[in-house]
Amino acid sequence: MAVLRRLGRLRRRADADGSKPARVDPGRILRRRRSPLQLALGGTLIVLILVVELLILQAYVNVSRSTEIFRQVIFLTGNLVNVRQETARLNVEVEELPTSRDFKGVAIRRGLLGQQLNLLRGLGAHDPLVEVTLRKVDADLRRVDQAIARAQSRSVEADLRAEVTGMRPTFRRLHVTLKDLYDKEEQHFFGALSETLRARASSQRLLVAFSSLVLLVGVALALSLRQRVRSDFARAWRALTAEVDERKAAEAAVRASEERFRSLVQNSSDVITILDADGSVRWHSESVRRVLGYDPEKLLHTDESTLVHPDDRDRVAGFVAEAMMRPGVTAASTWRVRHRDGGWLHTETVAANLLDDPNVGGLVLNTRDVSERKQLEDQLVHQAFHDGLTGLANRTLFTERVEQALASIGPTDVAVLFVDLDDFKNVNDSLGHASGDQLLVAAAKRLKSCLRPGDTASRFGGDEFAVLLERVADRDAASAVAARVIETLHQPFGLQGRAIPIQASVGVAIGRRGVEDADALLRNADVAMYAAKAGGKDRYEVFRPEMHADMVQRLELEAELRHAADRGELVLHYQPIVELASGRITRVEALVRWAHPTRGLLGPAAFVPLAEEHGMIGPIGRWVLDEACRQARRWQDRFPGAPPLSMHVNLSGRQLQQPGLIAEVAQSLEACALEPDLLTLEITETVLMADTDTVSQRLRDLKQLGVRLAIDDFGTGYSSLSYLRRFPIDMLKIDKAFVDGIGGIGEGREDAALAHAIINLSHTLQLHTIAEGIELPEQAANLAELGCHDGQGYHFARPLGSEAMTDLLEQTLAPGGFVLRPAEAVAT
Amino acid sequence: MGRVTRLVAVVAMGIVVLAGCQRDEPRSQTPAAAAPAPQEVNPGTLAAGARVSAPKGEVVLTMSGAIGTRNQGKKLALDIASLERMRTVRMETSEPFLKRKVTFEGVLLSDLLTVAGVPDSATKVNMIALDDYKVDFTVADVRSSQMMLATKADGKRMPVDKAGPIRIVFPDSSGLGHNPDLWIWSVSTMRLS
Repeated sequence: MAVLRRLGRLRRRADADGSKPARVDPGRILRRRRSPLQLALGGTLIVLILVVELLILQAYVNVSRSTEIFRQVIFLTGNLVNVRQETARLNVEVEELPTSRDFKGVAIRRGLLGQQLNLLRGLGAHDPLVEVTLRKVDADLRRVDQAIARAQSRSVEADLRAEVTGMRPTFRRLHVTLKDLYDKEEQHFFGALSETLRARASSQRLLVAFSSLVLLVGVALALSLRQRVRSDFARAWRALTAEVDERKAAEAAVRASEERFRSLVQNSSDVITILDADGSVRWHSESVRRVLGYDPEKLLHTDESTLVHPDDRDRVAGFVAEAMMRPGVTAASTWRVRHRDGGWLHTETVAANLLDDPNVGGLVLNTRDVSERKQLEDQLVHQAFHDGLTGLANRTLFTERVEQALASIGPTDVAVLFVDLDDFKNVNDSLGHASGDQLLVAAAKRLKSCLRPGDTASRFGGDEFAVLLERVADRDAASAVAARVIETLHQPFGLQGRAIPIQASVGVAIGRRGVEDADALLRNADVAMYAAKAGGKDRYEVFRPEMHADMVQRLELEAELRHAADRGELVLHYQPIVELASGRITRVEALVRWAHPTRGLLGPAAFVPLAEEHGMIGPIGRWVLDEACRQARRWQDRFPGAPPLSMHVNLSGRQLQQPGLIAEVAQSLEACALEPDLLTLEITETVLMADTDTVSQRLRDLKQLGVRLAIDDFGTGYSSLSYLRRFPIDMLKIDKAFVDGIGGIGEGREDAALAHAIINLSHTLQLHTIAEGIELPEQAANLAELGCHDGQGYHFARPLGSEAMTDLLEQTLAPGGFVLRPAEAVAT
Repeated sequence: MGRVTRLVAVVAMGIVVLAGCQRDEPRSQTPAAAAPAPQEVNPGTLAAGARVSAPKGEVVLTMSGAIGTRNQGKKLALDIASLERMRTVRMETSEPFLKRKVTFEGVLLSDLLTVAGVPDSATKVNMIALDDYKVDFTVADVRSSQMMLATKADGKRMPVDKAGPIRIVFPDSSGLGHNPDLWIWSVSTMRLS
């Protein structure tokens, strides 16, 4: 019963939960309605038992009645035996009378017979047979009595005997009568006995049958009840175990949940702290050891704020105070906390006010280490405002600083310097980007070294730098800084074992505080910088308003250059290259000119850098190559008898980088059916200096085509001579600077020696040499003497238009070639 | 546990009780009327130790064996008159054969044994009827049971065919009297030992 009661409680609890599905109550299983089968069996059993009881009762009554009957019959028959016996004795005594004369004895015997007959009369009172017999017996006995009385009176023995003899038939009759009665009574008795026994047997059979039925139904009921009890118990057991299992599962789930939660809290990277209402630490999660390095036990009951950075303590106190007052979760706040190793961690804390929660009763702080995030944020902020490569401020920050400076009040003006490294692209092209980056970093460092604290240096991208000078007394002071910047950059940078100087063009713009705006100032500086570039580079310019016009012009030029090739404004001029020993024109260098519709004929210096800067060098270069080849073909056709002229075409580093170059060259040659060895491509020394795989591969590929390769302006670059061996170079063109030293214009003995050395070297390396910029006959003569193969310069001819050149060739046409005599040189 | 089982049990018990009552019925029919004590009719003249004269009439009872009073050799022969000289009593009792009340007069056997001078050492009385019917009593039973030797029934002498002339009767209160076999008809001899 206790189990059931508990089950009931369980069930009520389950019901109260409301979440669990309704299910079988074990208690109800045992109390459920009884089955109809058992009711029927029970009723039948009761009826059967009643019947059996009645049968037993009836049998008992029958038995007692039978017993009574039998007793009477036994009395009767017993009495009959006595009667017959007494009759027989009376008969005997009567027969003895003649001798004994014992009439007294006969009388007693007769009395005793009377006794028995009286008994018989009582016993057989209702038996007609007995009554009939008794009447006969009484009649006969009267005769006997009378005979005995007569005999008593006879004194004569003979008479006495006669009387006795006379009684014999009467006695015989008495014997027969009594025997007959006895037989009949006996027969009657056995008949009644067998009948009674039969009746009893049938009633016994009935009793046995009903008893068996009782047994059967009883057993059936017992089995049914047993089955019922078993099944009920099994069901109750199942329900009970299910309940227990469910409870266990629920407990396990709760336990697992707790474990999970504990594990979460313990293993969380967050530190969970519970503060009492007075602000002291009641509990720290284990993670405090990992995050802050402290033993959680030792932090208990301490003042949390001792770990907080002094600058943040007021904020933390405010945060805690506010969280204590406001229920729920407080927004995250960050502050610094001291790690056990002494460093500061940036932490972010969320507070949950659980003071009213009886399970906690405190303020729960969830603290997480956000140092990395903070660092990342700082880094991102830095990146947003600084140049990744040099660490200088970027354009955004710089512009902001300029705005701030202009907006602020101060005694001096504000100056902005725009610094653009000259020909930095060449460095990048020839030495590679990694070296270019190194150079930029070094340049940035130097730039900063020129500034005073408070000034800002920034990189705008590429090779553009800007400097903000917040305290400049006047334009001269700003100019002085600009000059210092240029000079500082001039000192060579050590790169790949070489000393590389950097030139820079600087634009200076001065702004009045509260007057100029930042954009205008920056634009002015930019314009000034372009002016410096346009003015020959490696210099600074201070902004003047008219510079804007120059700038506009440059922009126009750039726009026009885009269409120059299409409009046929590009032309090629040709300068002959003469064999110094014979004076024959063997080679012609093609030089590009821009026949500008308004500005006249412009040299390459006026537009090639522009073209390179704006990515237009590809199409221009290609046009030049095609046109040069076509011209070479035309001259071959024109002068079939003369030895064919070699055509020299300049190739910029940028062009050499282009992937389609080889195909273009092959195509140009093929289009004009020009022998490849009649085309010489001139490249500058700085191109070789890059020494990239691409460059050397291109050169090898060109060489493979059969094209000749020459180095232009040799001696001005910084290549070591050993480079020459590494590339498939055919000839060197000695720069005009060396040629100038030979024969007269200056006292350049050193240059002359260098020229000499170059020529000797070329001989050693079996390179063809061409001297550039020959202006005097002495120079030509000296160079010829030094062993230089060819020469080029005003001494022989200025660059000529194609028709003029054709004319010259016509004039100089002689057997064996175009022999130029100086007298015939075209003065133009 | 079930109501069915309980019902069955109750019914079964009821049946048992009922059956018990049925069996009890014959017992309840036993006559419970208080038997009246024998009334003295005549104090008698023959007392203990008195000499009993020889019988003048027909001898109805002969006593022998362990007796102190004799009148015929070793026997004590008694006729009706001798018997009636002893203290006589009258009592009404249920006659088992006639199945009705009969008022007998006669001598209490305890008085008879006293007159006959039966010693305390005697333990057994062997009684024989005219038809040689024999019954043994203990002397103690005889003395204590108020059994009587009747000489008259309903004021009349009893012929032999009416179980006379003398017969043994018991008062209703006597336990021995329930057995009809002990009601000896026509008793004629008593032998004490």
